[in-house]
Amino acid sequence: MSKISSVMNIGQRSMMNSQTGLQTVSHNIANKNTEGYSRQRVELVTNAPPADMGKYQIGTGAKTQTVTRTNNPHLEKQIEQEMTKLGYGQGKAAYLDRVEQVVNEQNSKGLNHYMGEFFNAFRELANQPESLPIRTQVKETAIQLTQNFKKTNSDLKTIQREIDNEISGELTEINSLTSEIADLNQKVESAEIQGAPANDARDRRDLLLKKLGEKINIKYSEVDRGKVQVVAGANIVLVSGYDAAELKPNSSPAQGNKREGNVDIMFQLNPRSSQFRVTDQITGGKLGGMLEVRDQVVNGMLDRLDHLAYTIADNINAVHATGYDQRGRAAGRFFAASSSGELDYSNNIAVTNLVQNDVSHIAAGLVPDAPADNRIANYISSLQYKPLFNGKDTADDFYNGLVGELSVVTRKARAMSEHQQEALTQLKNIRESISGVSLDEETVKMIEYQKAFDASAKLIKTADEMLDTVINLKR
Amino acid sequence: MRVSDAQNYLNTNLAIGKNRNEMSELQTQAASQKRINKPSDDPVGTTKLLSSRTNEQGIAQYLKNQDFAKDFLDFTDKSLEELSNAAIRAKELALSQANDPSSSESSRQAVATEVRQLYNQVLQVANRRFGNRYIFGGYQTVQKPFDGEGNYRGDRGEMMIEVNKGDYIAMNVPGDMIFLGRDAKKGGVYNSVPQDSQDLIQTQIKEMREQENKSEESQQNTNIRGPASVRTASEALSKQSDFGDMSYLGNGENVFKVFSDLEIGMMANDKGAIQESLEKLDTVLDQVVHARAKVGSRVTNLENTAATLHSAKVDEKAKQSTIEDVDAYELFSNLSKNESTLKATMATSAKILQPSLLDFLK
Repeated sequence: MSKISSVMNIGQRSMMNSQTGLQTVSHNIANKNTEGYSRQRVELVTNAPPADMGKYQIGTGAKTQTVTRTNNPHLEKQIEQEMTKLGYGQGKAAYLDRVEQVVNEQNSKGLNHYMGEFFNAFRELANQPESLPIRTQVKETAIQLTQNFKKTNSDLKTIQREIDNEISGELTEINSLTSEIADLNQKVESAEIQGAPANDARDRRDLLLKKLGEKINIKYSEVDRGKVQVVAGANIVLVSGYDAAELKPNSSPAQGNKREGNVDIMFQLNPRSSQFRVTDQITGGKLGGMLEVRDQVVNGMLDRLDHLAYTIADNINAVHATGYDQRGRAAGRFFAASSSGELDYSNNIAVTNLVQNDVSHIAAGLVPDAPADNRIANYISSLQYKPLFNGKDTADDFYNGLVGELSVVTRKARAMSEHQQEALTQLKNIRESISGVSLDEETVKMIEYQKAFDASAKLIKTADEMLDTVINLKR
Repeated sequence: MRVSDAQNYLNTNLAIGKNRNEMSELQTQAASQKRINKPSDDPVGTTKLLSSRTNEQGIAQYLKNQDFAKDFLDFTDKSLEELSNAAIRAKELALSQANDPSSSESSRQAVATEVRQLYNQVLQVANRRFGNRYIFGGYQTVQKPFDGEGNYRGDRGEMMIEVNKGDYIAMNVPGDMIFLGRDAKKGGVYNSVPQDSQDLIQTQIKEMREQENKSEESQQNTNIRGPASVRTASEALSKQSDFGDMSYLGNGENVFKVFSDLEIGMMANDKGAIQESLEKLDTVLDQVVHARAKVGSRVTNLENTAATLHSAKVDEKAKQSTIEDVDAYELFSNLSKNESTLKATMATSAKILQPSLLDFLK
């Protein structure tokens, strides 16, 4: 049985629905530029006819069931994973660019040049072993070579230190991200326990997870009642329920590929518990990329640089020590020995004090008391083209190989990060296509709700007039 | 597909960013005129560049070495020319005094003085210096290789100069070869240098032993030094040990001895001795000519290597240029292409970003 009051009720509820709609539209428009925002929709359902309707099943209007966000969780997860790759690529490429500059000889002189100069100085010495100026020149060129080894070594270590600093900064950010995620877990749970989806909190949490993923390789999943658990690496539980653990930098002795003095990443469940080392588990994200540059690439280069410096010095020393110096004395080493052997030799390499203080100690001759004997000098300069490395590579080959390999790695990292950027943009496009706010669309909705609001008001007015008519029947 | 506003901005940003990035790389290339500005621009090219630069560095040094060796050899040749002139003059004198019709005891006495002067000239040549170095002392370049009696105090050292990668040329001719006739007819252009450290040490051991033997011998000689006759004997002995390993003993002559014998012959008015000297002077001339030929062939060889090196230097430069230099036409066509793309992107972006439904609902 139809009732006038029912029309009035439907009109009133409809006006409320339109208002809810308009409010959602305004929320959407306001958040058009909010990062990670998913547009929201009001879901209306028909109100079922009351049980005593009688013969005709006439509905009682519409009601707002819920406000949902338009969002594809799988896509969000995929974006997070791609961001991990992007972060890794970018972290790697940014620092490889720097490492590459250390060996870039396009605009300035580097080891390749100074090695050539060094061997040429011995050729010059072979021309005139008696000449003091030329001996001094040999000494100076040798010192230049050692200084360049040292500079390359320290440039590389500076990059490692900078990476360490940035790692510490990133860890602070990671800690603030994880603690906010833990807070959001609480908000989502307490909102959803009452049945309403926590749209904005979830959007925010998705965004933070993506940001976290860009920094470190994580896996996350929703466990109970809308809370996410975040695990980095294999078993570093960063967020569980309402609690977030912390990652801390710690300089520690050499371990694995890591050299002494570089920072390790430590896991601490809460401020009272003890820390343990998780560096090896971090293989992705910006941190993973930076760690790889620091521990694999740069340390690999340092090792090879040490080997290069040591092999050159060792071979030259061996020959030099068989010779006789300008005053007919049996000569000693040309390069000073290092107590740590090959380790860090590119930093420790130096011309012996004996030679530095008195260039007559440089041996050019094979036999004593033969001032123009240049056979040792000749032999030392011929070492430039001798296969001192693995029996097949010359010093030049070895160094050029190092530069070549590094530039390939750098090129690859840069290409990967560019490619990843594009792939990610594609995914973000898809995400925005689903979740992004379109002003045109919202405008249409606005008009739609406004018209509905108008019409609903009209309904109430009509019902009012009908009631007037009924009341005036008796008059 | 549903297109949201954020997408437009995202795409616009990406497109412009990409264009700008390309533009900046092209600009770096234009500014440096180089295609390779950092190793990763072309890893293979970079390693090629590095080894080409090392080669170039080496070539520059070899050219320098060659100039140095050539000056030294030219100077040696000039000195030898003087020696040869002295020998020719001595031969003329000996010829004129060898028989009676043209000469007499008094004329021989007079000529003896000139021969003495020639002897001194030869001694001067033998002790000639290039810069601060005595050129005929082998490795003994800081002391006079010959004393007034023509005793050799130098050694047999040959200064090997690297004139091309792995190619060495002897820069000096040890004085005992020229003036004492050791190995007078031996010797090519290139001499070998120790190839590995074993070789080096073997050579060292051998030479040190030789030196030791020599000093022992001279000690023994000093010990038996006594009356004049014994002295000559021991002198002959030491001479013999100097010529010990010589296969061309008959070809080699002690230049000083030949000159002083000639002088003594003149003084003693001994025609036989003078005639004997004539023959020996021929050997001396032979010896000098041979040495000059040796020096000359080294110079020729140097000149040939220099020509090769000069062209190799140009080749290396050209190689580097092909690897690292930018192709100007390509660069500028790329630049203008990029510029028009950038403009197009901006123009279309402006069109896409502008309108919204709101503009039409007034």
